[in-house]
Amino acid sequence: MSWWLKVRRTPYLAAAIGAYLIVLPLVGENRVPLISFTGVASAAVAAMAPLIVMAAVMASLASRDRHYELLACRGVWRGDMGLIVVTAVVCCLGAWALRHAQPFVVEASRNLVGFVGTALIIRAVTNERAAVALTTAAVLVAAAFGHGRRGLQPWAWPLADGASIPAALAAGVLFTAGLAAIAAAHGAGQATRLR
Amino acid sequence: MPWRAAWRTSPALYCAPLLVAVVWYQLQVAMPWRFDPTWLAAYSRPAAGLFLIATVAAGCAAWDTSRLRRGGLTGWVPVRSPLRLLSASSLPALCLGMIGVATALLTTLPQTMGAPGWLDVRPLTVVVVAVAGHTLLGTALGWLLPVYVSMPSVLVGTYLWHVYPAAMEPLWLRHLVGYGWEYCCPVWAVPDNRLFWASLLVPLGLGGGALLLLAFRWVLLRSLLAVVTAGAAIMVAAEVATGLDVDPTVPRTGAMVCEESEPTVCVWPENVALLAPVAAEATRVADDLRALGVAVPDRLAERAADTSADDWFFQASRDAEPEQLRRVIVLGLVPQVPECAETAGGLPEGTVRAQEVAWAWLWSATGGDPSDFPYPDDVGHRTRVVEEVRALPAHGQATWYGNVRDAVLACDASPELDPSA
Repeated sequence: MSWWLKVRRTPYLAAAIGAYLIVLPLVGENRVPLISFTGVASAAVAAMAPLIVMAAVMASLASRDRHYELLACRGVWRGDMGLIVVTAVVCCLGAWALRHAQPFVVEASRNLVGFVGTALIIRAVTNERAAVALTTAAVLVAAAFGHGRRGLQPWAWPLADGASIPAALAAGVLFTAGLAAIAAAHGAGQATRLR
Repeated sequence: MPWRAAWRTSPALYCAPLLVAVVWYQLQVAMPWRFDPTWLAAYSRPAAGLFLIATVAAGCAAWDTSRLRRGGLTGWVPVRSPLRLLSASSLPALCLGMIGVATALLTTLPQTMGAPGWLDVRPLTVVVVAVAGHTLLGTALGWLLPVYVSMPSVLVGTYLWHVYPAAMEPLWLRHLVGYGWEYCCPVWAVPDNRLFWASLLVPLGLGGGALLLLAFRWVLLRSLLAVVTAGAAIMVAAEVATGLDVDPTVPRTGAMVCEESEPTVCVWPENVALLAPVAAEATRVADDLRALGVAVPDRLAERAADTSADDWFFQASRDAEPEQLRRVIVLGLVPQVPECAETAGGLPEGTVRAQEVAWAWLWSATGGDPSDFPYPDDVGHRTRVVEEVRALPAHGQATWYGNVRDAVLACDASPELDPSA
């Protein structure tokens, strides 16, 4: 267990969660104007803060030796999934505790879940480094192209209001798919090992 | 690293077509020209894509150098300096940024064809230095920080650096990141030199700080030097930019092209095509008003540095229709609110309405429909007053207009609009 915790860089992950929870009240209700090509809009800075945790989760998962872990008797991938779920739950509860200092905790928590899920999906087909870069780029693409003349595009869910059910569903689906991608990657690894 | 390997493995190779397409879309389709496409406006327009070009270039630079970092080059003692090692690695990202700038220029420059004018290096210098500065910063952060920190920091940081100041007070903060160039400039104005220096100094400071981060091995020394360099540049730029307005331009000086018609019409060389149609409409307007006994100035010109409130001036787009031209020519005769409005306790009540009614009467007296007017408020009252005035004999109309004009300019009482008063 201590080996797993060390390899997963849990102290750094905890530090990133702490940084995220410090940033949330610091940015307050600040909004950043979005230079959108198809409309005028703004987004809460707090809604971008979960990128910190997403990058930390990817850094945590990247520090493994894939081949050793595929041969391990214990299901390390279950630990990974647990670590990600615990991280998301701690961040969401922490954000909820800060709701008096940060009016956008719902957006931030939804985006945290969605960003981590997106990164996990991208990681399954590339690697952790590309997942960080592409997830961040996806957020910026949503900022630039997400606002159409008829309002927010459905795929630009990170910019939606906290009350948006479709955006919350999208984030949840992405998170679930991301976790499933971990399990699927483990299964693929097992199959490779058996060959 | 062989240069071919740097290019082949860089994300800049894959980002280039996307960046070209997005920059083209932004400047050709999504972002309309606010002013006529003069040469100065065309050279300034790439600044509108800076938030995108600089972000992508800096991100690619951070990615490329992070690969060298991951390869363990930071732990070796190479013969070549980090600067030399990284220059080859970050060259594709820098070229990507320049491709973005070139795309922006190629998108805008063809629209200036046929207009007199030539290269203004200032906006182009600012954009190129900004892209290079942010690319260097991306290179330095990609080299010094783990990729999981550097990539989000560089991408989000560069984006926010360019878009956030536009939402901040005081207003001049936006000019530190070159925001003032985006819609520069109407034909009668040129950018304030303070805008140039402020928007140039900031990326120079950032780029210089990034170079210092890469040039020294001692962490404390390089961090200190980088922070001092960037901080000093930003402070000097802030000092230069302090007080700049949203529109950081100054009126243009220089020779206009004139036509000796009645009245004499003068335009800037870029708008020489406007000369004949404006002269024709101005002659018609002047004849109509003189027939009513209204005095009309002898000279109509585009706005310039020496234009005063008493002068007859106009602003028109190069592709304006004759009726639009007549409308702006007539607008130039509407009495402007003098400076006393700001010094003598504010504008007397009804002054703005008097200006609108005066404009509507001038428009009607020169053949226009007084109800066809850009101000939708209080159309009925305005139209009724104009019809009553138009029903008067010629000298009565001239007297009414003269009284309204004098009252607006006197700035000490509410203008009387009732023609029977």
